[in-house]
Amino acid sequence: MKHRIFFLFLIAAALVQATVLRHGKVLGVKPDLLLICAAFASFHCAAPWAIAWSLCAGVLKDVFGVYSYGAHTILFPLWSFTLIMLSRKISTDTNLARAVCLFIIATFSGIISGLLVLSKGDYVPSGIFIRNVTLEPLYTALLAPWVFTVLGKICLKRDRDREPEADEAADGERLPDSEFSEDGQDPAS
Amino acid sequence: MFFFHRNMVQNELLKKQVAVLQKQLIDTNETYLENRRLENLVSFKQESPYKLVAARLIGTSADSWSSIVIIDRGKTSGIRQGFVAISHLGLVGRVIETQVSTSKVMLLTDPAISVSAIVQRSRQEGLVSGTLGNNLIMRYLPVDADIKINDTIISSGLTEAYPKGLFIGTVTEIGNEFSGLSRFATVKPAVALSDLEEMLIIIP
Repeated sequence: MKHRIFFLFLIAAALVQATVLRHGKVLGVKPDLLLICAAFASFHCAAPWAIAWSLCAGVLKDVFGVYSYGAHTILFPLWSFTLIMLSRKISTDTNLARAVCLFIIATFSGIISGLLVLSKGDYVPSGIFIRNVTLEPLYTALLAPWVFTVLGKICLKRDRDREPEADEAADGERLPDSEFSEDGQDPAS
Repeated sequence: MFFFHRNMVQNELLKKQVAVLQKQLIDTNETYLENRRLENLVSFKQESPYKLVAARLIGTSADSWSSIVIIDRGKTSGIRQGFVAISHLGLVGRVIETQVSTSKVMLLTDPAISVSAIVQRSRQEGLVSGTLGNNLIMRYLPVDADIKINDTIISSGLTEAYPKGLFIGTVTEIGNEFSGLSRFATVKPAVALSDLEEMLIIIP
């Protein structure tokens, strides 16, 4: 994966999340671009890189937040680890499967964030809580395939330029579980 | 054939000119609206007894569990943590974090913010806090509280956090708490916090 380009995209996603997406709210919620980027890294990078990028995304989300107590800095790498483990058990080669995994992760993330707010004694109406826990992950999951496609085009190297080594490429990019590469060609051929 | 080609070329040219003029019209409208907003702020600033610093919004929180905005004024403009943010329409929020040239302001709609408030008509006290939605909630009202729909809610000044008399909002709904021991009122904020673009920070 082109790590430098991905890093720039991550910074851009954080800025878009803090500025432009304010006007892109649907029913008061906006998608979590940083979580989408962390998920992309989890699906396409080796574990150390994926967790590092997820940590970076979590830090960026906490920078633009207030009272998360650094929760996203801890949670994002945890979600990345979960996605890596999950992708070894089930097939996550399609954008649909990845979006569903992301929806589940985003729901858990929303629940934990909401419980953190409630634990401080703040009052959040039940309708708002349910809205944030259901609509935001749904919005995130619906936007994810498009972001995955864009990231795939700009950040992923072509497979014929790589020489696969066991289950990991030399630059740390993890091969998908199937024997076929991103463009459907057998890397052994 | 010659006239057809000439007319076609002219048509394309005119379409481009129309597109340019439309963009200029949109820019002019935007400048006009910004001018009106800033005029309101400036006239309010001149008439207000407080020392005020104008600030523009440059960002918002990255998640949906907090209502904070980032403004383009910081310590160099004299802003410190705890200062109150207002607009010409009413109370906006409070500065929670300051950097050299930017600050974070927590809006009234954040559930972590609580403002001691009173009903302007009956002087009934309560606590106004955010709900992450479009409305605020005024809680801890006694069962026999004298509060009605369309009542004006202002800051009480009981704490030093918020000056007295800042317009918070208008009552839209009154109900009983789940325990039945107190009542609550839904308050529509005076300031459209979701559309905020500029604000004033009170410098004590």
